[in-house]
Amino acid sequence: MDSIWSIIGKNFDGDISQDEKNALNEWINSSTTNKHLYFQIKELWNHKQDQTNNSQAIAAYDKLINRIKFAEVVQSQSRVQSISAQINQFVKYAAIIFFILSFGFLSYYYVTEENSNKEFCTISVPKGNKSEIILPDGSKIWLNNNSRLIYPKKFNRSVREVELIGEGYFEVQRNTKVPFVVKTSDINIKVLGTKFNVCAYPNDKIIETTLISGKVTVQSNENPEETNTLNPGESMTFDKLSNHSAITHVDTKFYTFWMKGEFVFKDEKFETLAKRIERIYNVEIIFDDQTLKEKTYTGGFKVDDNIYSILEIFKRSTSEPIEYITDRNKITIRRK
Amino acid sequence: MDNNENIELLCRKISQNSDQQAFKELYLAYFDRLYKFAFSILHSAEFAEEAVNDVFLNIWQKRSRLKTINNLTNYLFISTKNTSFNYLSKFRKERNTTLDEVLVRFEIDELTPETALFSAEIRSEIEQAINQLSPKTKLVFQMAKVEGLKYKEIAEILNISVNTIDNHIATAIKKLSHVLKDISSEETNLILFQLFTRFNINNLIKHQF
Repeated sequence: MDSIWSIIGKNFDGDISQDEKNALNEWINSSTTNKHLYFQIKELWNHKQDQTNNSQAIAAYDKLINRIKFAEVVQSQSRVQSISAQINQFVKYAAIIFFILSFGFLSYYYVTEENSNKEFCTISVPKGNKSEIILPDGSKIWLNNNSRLIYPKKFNRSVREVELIGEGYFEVQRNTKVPFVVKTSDINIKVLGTKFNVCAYPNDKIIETTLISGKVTVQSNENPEETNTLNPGESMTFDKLSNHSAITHVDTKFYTFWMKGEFVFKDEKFETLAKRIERIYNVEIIFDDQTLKEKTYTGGFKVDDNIYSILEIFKRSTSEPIEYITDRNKITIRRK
Repeated sequence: MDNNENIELLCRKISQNSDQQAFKELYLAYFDRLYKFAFSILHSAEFAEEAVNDVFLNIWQKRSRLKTINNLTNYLFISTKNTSFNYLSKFRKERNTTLDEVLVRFEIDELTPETALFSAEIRSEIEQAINQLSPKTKLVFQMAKVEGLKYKEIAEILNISVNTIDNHIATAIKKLSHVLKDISSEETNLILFQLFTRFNINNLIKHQF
């Protein structure tokens, strides 16, 4: 005979024999303690959490749709590539056929370019992720977590324009005739062909542009005639409130670690670090004591690390003892 | 899932007409359960959501073959399990993850919302008790109780025998009964009072069997 616990479980499952039913009935009726116990367990078992959190499912679905669209764009691009590969095959055998085909292909190209000029692709990277994109002109972009890039399916012939919300590292294909412009909420960054990092999150007070190599020109939307030119190793901080910009010399490697899934910092304020941790781990960090925000840290983590092990390191590496309290996605940091 | 016919209809619409609205309905019908399942393995809201989306991205891309899947619920849970395990392997930088290596986390909110019947203290005691169980027992218990899966389904998803499932559930229920028994008599009396006023126990027993 199975234990009574097993029979109770089978009863919940619905797959229970008559013998087992009788045994359960007998056990329930043999004492009031059993009776109460059975009903408590049953109550617990049958209590389902309300599925009120539909908004999460809908938000997740939206992300899925973005991924599906992205996958379809990539697929159609590779289809175009395979068509042109086939054309190359033909060249080897019959130049005439190639001519006719390419003529057809070119006219197709012109027709579709007209139509697709106004079509845009949006790549969204959710919190805790990062993504690598190759644009139609061959430029490479790494998008950091919680960021979005909007670009036309086909660039027009006078300017290569993209829009960035969040953080991205750009390696722009050199084309002196067609400048590349990164638009953010407040400033535009114009380049010919360079490597640079732009950090423009909507919740941040500043937009930071850091140049690794080449040359960029930055123009604010407020005063378009006023431009700043950056040299390699320089970083420009644009204050969204005052519209003021400042250029400083920086160690550029700290601006590109995120691409490798590393999180490295030097003499960085706890407040700034907390903002970055919030984005990586999708949490909210609250400082119980405002003076803690000003403390600076130097160090590094792998983004794969568990957030608790990172918090634990902060806890141990501070001169004044701190502690953290977690409540779901909220983390409160306070003095011990 | 209580409306199998509806699910079948949705699948037909998706595979034959590439119906996005039907796809959304199917997604919303399963999201909650698959998400909780993935969360218990991955312990991260972000990755659990990502795992579920990986599964549905695959469903959409292979929608023409959707008809060939004979038990969609099982298929979705197995895919979610495999995807979650792959994520774990990636984090741990090891080739494979097996069920024995998964640390299952069980939260009381998954168990039951706060009701008059189970006070905050009882809930936390139950939570503690459940978390003392082995990861496998916790996972099986959650799948049966929270995700509402049948023993047979769990056995197929986790690739273990129904007998083993039976043992895991029996262990969990035994543990629960110990916690409930141990609760102070005052508390118990209150619970009993509520039980008796809420429904006539004897009638209910007759009705049940």
